[in-house]
Amino acid sequence: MNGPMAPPLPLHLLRLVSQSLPVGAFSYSRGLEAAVHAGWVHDETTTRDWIFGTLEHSYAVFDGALFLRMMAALERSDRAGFAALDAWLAAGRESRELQQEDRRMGEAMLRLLADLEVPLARELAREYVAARPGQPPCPGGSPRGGLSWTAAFAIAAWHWRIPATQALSGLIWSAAEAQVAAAIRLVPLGHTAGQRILIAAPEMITRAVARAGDAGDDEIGNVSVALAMASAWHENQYSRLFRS
Amino acid sequence: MVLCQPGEILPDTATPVAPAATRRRSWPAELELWFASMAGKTRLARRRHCGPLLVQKPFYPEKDGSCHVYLLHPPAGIVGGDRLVQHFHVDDGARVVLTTPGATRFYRSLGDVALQSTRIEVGAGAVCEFLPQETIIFAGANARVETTVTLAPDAVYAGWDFICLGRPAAGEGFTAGRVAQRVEIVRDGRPVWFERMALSAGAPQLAAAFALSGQPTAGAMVYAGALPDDAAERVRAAIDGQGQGGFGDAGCLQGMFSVSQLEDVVVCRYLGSRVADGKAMFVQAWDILRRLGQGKPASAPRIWAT
Repeated sequence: MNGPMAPPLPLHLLRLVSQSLPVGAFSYSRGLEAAVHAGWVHDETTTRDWIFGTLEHSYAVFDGALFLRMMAALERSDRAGFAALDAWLAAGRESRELQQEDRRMGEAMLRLLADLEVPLARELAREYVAARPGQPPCPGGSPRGGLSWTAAFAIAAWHWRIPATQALSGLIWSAAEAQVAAAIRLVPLGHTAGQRILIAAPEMITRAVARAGDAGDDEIGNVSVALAMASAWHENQYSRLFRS
Repeated sequence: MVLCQPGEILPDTATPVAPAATRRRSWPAELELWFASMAGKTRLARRRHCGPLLVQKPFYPEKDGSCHVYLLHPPAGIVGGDRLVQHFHVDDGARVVLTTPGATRFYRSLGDVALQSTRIEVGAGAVCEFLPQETIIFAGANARVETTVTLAPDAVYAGWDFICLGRPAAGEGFTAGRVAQRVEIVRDGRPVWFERMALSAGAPQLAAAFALSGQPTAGAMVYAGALPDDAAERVRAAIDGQGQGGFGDAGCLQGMFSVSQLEDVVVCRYLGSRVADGKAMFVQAWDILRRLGQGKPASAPRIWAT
C-alpha cells in the first residue's frame, strides 16, 4: 500500500450507530412530529435548521458535554462520578416523552449489553434489580429507572475502546440520522432531500463535538424552549406516528 | 468586590438607584431567612441581611398559617459586578410563599457579570413556593440567575421564572448582552430537575423555531411534590386553547403554553410577548396543582394586582 496509512475505521462505532442496533431509536421523533404539526417544520430548509440547531445548541452542550465526562469517569473507574453524571442528565429531560424516550432506549441498550456479557452492563443491571427488589428489572431498574441512553451508549463505547470524541460524533450522527428518517415520513421529505441534510451533517457535528468539549461545568445545558413545548404538546396530539 | 462580612447588619435604607447606563459601585447583598412552624403558623423565625436586600413584615392571607413574604431589592436594578445572594431555610412543617413586589431588572453592564443566586432548603412536610415577578434583561446586561433547591423526601416546592429580553414596549430589543439562568432541584440527594438557558444577543436561538422563535419572554414553572397522575391533564384542560400552537390571540391570553408531567415534577412553560399573560396562565396552573397537591386554592399575593 502506498502513502500514509489512513486511521482505521472505528468499526465497532459503525455497529453502535447502525439502524440495526435493537434499541428502538426509530420510533421516536424528539418533538419533531409536534413541530411539523405546528407548522414550524415544513420543508427541507426548516427541517435541517431544526435538526442541526437543536443538536448543536442544546444536545451538544448537555448530552454531549456530559457524555465526554462520563467517558472520562469510566476511564478512571469512577463509578460514583459516572452515576452522578447520569443522574444530572436524567434530571434535565424537558418533558415526559423525552424522559421516557431516554429511559427506554437506555434500558434497551443496557439489557443488550448485559446479554452480550459486557461486564459493567451486567453489574449495573444487577444493581438496578437489587435496588428495587420485587420489581421487574426492566422497565424500572434503579429507583429512577435505569440508565439514560447517553450513559448506556458511553458504556458501550468505552467497552469497545472507541475514543470519546469519535464516540460522541457517532452519538450525534445517530441522533441526526434518526431525526432525518422521521422527517422523511413526517414533513414529508424525499430521500434525496434527506441525503442532502445528512451530507451537511458532518460539518455541524464537528462544531457540536468541539462545543461539547469546550463547555465548562457551569456551561452545561441549554434548553430549547419551543422544542420542549412541542414535545409536551405531542403527549395529546390527536394522530401520532412516533412515541415522542 | 466587597463581600458582606458575616454578621454585618446594615440599616434598612438604601440609596435610590442610579440611571441604567451609569456606572456605580457594585453592590453586594445578602439575605438569609429562616422559617419555622410554631403552633400551626409559619413564622419568620430569624433573618440576616446585609446590603440592599430586605423583607417586609410577613402576611398571613391563608387559613393554614402559610407565611407570605415580599423580597425587596430597593435599588430595583442590578448592574455588572453586583452579587445578590438569597438563602431561605424552610424548616420541617413550615409553609412559605415568597414573591417580589416588582420586576427584577438587570441593567447594562460594562462587562462584569451580575449574579443573583438563590438557595432554598425545604424540610420534611414543608412547602416553599418561590414565585418572583419577571426578570428583565436590559440590552447590554450580563446576567446570571441561579436557583438551587434542596428538598426533604416529602417536601413540596413550586417555583417559576420569567425572563424578558430587552424592553420591547420601549422599543428596546435585546441587541447586546447575555443571560444565563439555571435551576436545579435536588430531592433526598438526587437531582430531580435541572434546566439551564443561556442566551446571548445575536445568538441563533433567539430567532430559531426550536428555541425562542423571536419571542421576548420565556417562563417556566416547576412543581415538585406529590400529585395525582392526571395533574398535567387537568392543567391542560383548563388552559388549553389559550396558548397552544401559535403566538396569536388563541383565547383571551397571548402566547404559547405547555405542560408536562415528568416522574418527579410537573413543568409548565410560556413563550410569548406578554409576561402578564404568561403569569395569568401560570397562576391558573398553580391553582390547579395546589388544589391537587395541597388541597387548597392558589393565594395570589395582593401585590401582583398593583
